[in-house]
Amino acid sequence: MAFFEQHMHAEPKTFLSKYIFSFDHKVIGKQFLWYGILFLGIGGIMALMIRWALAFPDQAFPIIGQFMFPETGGIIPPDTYAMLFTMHGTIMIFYAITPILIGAFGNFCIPLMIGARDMVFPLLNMLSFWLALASGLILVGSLFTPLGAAAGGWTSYPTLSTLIGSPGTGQTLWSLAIFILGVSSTMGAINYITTIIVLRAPGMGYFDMPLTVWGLWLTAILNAVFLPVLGAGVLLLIFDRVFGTQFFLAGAAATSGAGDPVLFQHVFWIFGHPEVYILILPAWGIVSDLLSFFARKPAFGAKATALAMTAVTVLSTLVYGHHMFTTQMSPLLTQSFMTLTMTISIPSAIFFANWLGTIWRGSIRFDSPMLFSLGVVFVFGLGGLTGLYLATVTTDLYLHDTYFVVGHFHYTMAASVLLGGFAAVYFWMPKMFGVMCNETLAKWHFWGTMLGLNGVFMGMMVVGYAGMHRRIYNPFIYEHLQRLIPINEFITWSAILMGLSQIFFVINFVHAVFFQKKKAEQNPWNVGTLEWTIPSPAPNYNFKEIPVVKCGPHEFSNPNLPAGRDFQYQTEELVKV
Amino acid sequence: MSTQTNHIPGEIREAKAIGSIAMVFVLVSFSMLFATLFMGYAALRNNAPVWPPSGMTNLPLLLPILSTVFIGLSSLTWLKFEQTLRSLWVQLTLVLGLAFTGSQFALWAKLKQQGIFADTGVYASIIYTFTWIHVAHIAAAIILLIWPIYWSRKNIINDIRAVKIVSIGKFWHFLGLIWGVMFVTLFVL
Repeated sequence: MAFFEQHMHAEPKTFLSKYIFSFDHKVIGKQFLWYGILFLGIGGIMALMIRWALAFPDQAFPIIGQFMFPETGGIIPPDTYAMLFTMHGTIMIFYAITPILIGAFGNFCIPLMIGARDMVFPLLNMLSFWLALASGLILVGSLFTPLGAAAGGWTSYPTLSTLIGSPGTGQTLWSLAIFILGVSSTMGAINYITTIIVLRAPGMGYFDMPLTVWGLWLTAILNAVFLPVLGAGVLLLIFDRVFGTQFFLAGAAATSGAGDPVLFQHVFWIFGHPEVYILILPAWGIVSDLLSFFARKPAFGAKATALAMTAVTVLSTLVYGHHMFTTQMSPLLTQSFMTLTMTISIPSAIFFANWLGTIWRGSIRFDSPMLFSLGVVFVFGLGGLTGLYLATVTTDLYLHDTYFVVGHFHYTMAASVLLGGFAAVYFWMPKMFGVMCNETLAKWHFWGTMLGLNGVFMGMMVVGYAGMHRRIYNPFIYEHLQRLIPINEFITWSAILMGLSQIFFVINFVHAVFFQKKKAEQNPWNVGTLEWTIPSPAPNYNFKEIPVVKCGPHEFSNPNLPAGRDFQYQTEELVKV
Repeated sequence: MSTQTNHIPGEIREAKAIGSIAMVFVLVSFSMLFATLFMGYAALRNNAPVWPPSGMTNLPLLLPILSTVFIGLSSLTWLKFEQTLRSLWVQLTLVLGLAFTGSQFALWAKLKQQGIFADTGVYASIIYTFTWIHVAHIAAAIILLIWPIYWSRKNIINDIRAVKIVSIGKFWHFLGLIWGVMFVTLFVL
């Protein structure tokens, strides 16, 4: 299908051209990976601080608390708490998950898996990273402004986010950072979409693409279509704050004619609901592939999985109103949105059943990428099911803005995506850096993370169901929530377990990248997709000869294969009797 | 068309396809940005008891009509440029683009004269913000015009550059179209 054959890149010679201003999609992917992991750490520490405040509100945060909040003796103050949950959400969604899944693995996997030498627009790709970096610096910089960072929640609803609610420059810088990141992601998305359409290797139809590429492609389409919506929203917010326009001001705050604070909610969620699928689709794709690779079976209903993911992508654009059931929407609208939202469970159930069908009676290899993929199946199943209660208007009116919501969306788009991202890191480590991670540490990492995150998010659902609202500094001043102190302490200890487990990952990752001497084999996992036909780590030109694709990506355990071999490369003709 | 030295055969057709695929998605992105703005405008306008809100004077119509003429003509001169690839037409496009920008500045000056500022209320907010965002895109498009002007003056337009010229043209026409919608919805209706 290839429209054309790209020229080979010349080998970069200097440090700057090789590692800093690189046009190579693999290097840009690694830059995004480091960027994302760094922000994952920052956002994770913020999460621990939030949890600490919710379990031990009158105790100093250990170790760093005394340095950060000397005026309160190390106790997290209320305004800082609001900044923490705002920045935690923003950082994790836009600066950790997006760069790791889309920036890093999107960049790294797409050209390699479709048999191309690079993205179709390498310069655009590089600009996309540098804009993302500028945006990250602005966001981090906003932490050091006089009134502190944005504190209106990651959703930044007016009037909290207007000058009335947040007078400091922190919120302005937040909006600016999100706008710039939006531009960066849109650039990346246009690059991904075009690359997948025009640069697939000869013979590779859309359904011969690995499902990872499908997920990333659908994500890119959603990004290109819906990030500009958020862009427009935050742009108007910036104008409201800087130039005194009145889009989101109403009542006494507006001078003549009234703006509408709820307008921002509409704009935000028109983007925001596709956004949650933007985050999860790459993870779905990666997991769909890895389950097949490690169960040594063809992906069950791979075409149906791809089509189901496409159906979810289309439906995701029509359901945003379920975030706003409590904004006095007309019942006709709430019921329409409810029905459309429920409809998403049909395609979701299709690919979920396909996942189970893939591992059913497979010869499963429990390597670390597989463990993390199975983790995704588990947590996404739970997260998806709890979504039904939030999509239903009647139950949502009670559950809205409680910790049940927090638990639900962390299961779906935090836990699933995090585990999917780790699966991808462990799986593509040999192709990215030419080394393997330590399996034992990876498994400790998995079990610590898995136990910890289930403790955290399951606990959140319980306290939410019991009526605990999110974003309250000290919920236990309310009498009816005082009985939830023990379970909140349990959640916090689980969070600490989860946080500490990441030390295994950091040690493992840093050791593998910088100190591991033993080189990885070309194809350590015995997988047939195109990136495993080239040496590890991938050379800067990827493919010396553009491969010709002759079979699908999941051809495992074909009985006609010669003895001792249970997979075939996509470049090989499908073996027949 | 001039020589094709370092291009492998068939590359022009492919460059055309790639350019137009990418451009479609670029324009979809920009359309969504403007569509969001118009959606917000529609919501605010429909929820207001009277429109324009009380206390607002009528907007000047002459300058927006002038802007419309400038940007409409610039699209026509661009079409002529795509046909002939002569630098005269792209330079005319540039002049008309600058004239459009000038007329927008004149519009803002006029509004200020009437005492309408960006913070005068939601109606003024909409007028200013939409024109600001649109002119920012026009500025970007004017910068993009530098290349076609340079290529056509030096007479170094080859097939690949012709593809790029078509892409720039699509963006230019798109901005004209957006202005058309703005002119009708903001000023006429």
